[in-house]
Amino acid sequence: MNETPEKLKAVLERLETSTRKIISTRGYSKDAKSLKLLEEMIKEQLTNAYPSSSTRTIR
Amino acid sequence: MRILVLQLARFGDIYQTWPTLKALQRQHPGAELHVLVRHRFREALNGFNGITAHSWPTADILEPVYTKGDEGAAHDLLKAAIAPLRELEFHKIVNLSFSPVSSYLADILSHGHTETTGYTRFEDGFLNIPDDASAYFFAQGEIGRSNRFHVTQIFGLVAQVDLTDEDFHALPEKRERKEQIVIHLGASQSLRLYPPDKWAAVIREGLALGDENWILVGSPDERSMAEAVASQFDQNRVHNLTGQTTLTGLMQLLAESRLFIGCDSAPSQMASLTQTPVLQLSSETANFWTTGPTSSGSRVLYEADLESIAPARVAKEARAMLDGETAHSPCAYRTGPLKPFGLHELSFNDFSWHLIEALYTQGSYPEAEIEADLLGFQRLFELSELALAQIDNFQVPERRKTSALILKNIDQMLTEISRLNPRIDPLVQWFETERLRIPPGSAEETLVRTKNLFTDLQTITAIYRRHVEPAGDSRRAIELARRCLPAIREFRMASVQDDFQSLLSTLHELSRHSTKVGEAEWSTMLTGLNDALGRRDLIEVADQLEYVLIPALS
Repeated sequence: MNETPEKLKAVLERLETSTRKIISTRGYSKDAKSLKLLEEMIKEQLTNAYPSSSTRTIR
Repeated sequence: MRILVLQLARFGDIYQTWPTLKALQRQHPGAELHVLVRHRFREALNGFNGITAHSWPTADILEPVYTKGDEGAAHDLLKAAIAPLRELEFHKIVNLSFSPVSSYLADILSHGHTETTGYTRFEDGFLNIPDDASAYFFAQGEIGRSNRFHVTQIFGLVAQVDLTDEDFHALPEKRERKEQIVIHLGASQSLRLYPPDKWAAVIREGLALGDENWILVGSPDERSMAEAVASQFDQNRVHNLTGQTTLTGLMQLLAESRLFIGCDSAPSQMASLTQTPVLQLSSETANFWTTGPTSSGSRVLYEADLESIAPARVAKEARAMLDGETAHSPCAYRTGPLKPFGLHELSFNDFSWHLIEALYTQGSYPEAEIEADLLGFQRLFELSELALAQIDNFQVPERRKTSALILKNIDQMLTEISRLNPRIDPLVQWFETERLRIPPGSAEETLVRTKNLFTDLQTITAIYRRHVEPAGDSRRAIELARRCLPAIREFRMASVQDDFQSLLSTLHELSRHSTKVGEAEWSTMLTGLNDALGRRDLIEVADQLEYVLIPALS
């Protein structure tokens, strides 16, 4: 019924795999940085419909 | 000089950032000040002059992910959004959003010469918290923790500026106040909502107590709730503007009103910036110390459960504020934006807060008030002692594996101690955060830094160690053992848990001062007891206490 979280999770999984590969071969490179940023943006969507408040720490 | 302020949270947080932006402008008069907020919340920068506002297009970047599951296209859009910002080559980045996204963005937008405060990333990608203010927020700022520093002041510290009262003035000119009260029925989160029927009761009581008009405000999606409430009243006295004001218009309306009433939400932060006194309803789902109103004369009515705040109490307190009277019921109150909240007939757990003050502001360490505090500190002392021994063992290759395992268990036990006694949680959070801040380095460097931190933890917890008097402690151990024995023999260990923990603590303390207990070795005695405990053989535990320990200590 609600396929969006599943879609996001699938994308996130693929991204995490690619980022891990890039970091293991090229280190924390420019591409790895932006992929990690994208990963976190998707995680935010999964954990909260809204961006986190400044006063709610996400570790 | 080109400065970027990152604020990727919501409306209320952006308004709480305004004082810091003003202070940055004052302290760096020739600098270009850029502010990056999420596109959706960009309106919260309207009316702030002298900055270049940028918006972060989250929805646009993620659109290919949502529609086609295409992360490659999203990645391209992301890089396109980053490029113009990177070209600006900021000299200073101030990240005021405490989130992973902002930490990666701050890192990506940095150049070799950029000075960054707030969350960013180390060269190996791990979270880097370069400044003490952000580390403080990481450790103590979460809701449910004991922080009492206001977020506006924390933002100022992260940005390395000194705030003044003037920084909290959003509008250049003072407006004449009308006989009107602005009320916001909504809140930033559903958990912080006061029920509409109770709001209606507040308005009803308020109308009976005074002649002011009441104006309802809020976002378009709060319109139906506001209409349901407003329709119960004479429209000459109660005006419903919910969903009809821009944020700039709301700011002006607040500046012309005598009072704002609401829960923890953006209009409350906006009212504070117009020096309008705020009457805020707060509960444990928000931390008013951190995000409560800052305008002078504001008050906070607090109950653990928001619904426990009676409408009559709200209406009477509002009346008292309008009439310049002292607080009518228990509340927190504010006398200025840079002054801490005062408490009127209201009290909170001061121990944890004083512990925070001691850790971060060189205050005195508070006296332990209850046995559980002393026990908690004692356990932390023992763990730090054990950790230091294991770190020393790391030098010996054949002991390294075992030491690593023990250190891992120590980590879990630290968290467990803080869970069991949240009053001492600030110390554990401080320690964990400082450990996280250890930068990438060689194994030796990391080991030295870790050792230094455990030494600090040991020094702090040593303050709370009982003064050891072997004779007195022996008597105490015998007394505790005798108290625990009947329950242990009847398999009711849980009923004497506190006494048993105290007994173990006392035994460990005694063992530190002598290798022998009577004719026996302390190490043999404690190992025997621990083995029996590990097997959950309570009869054996009781026998050890009754036939070995008590005679040896007597």
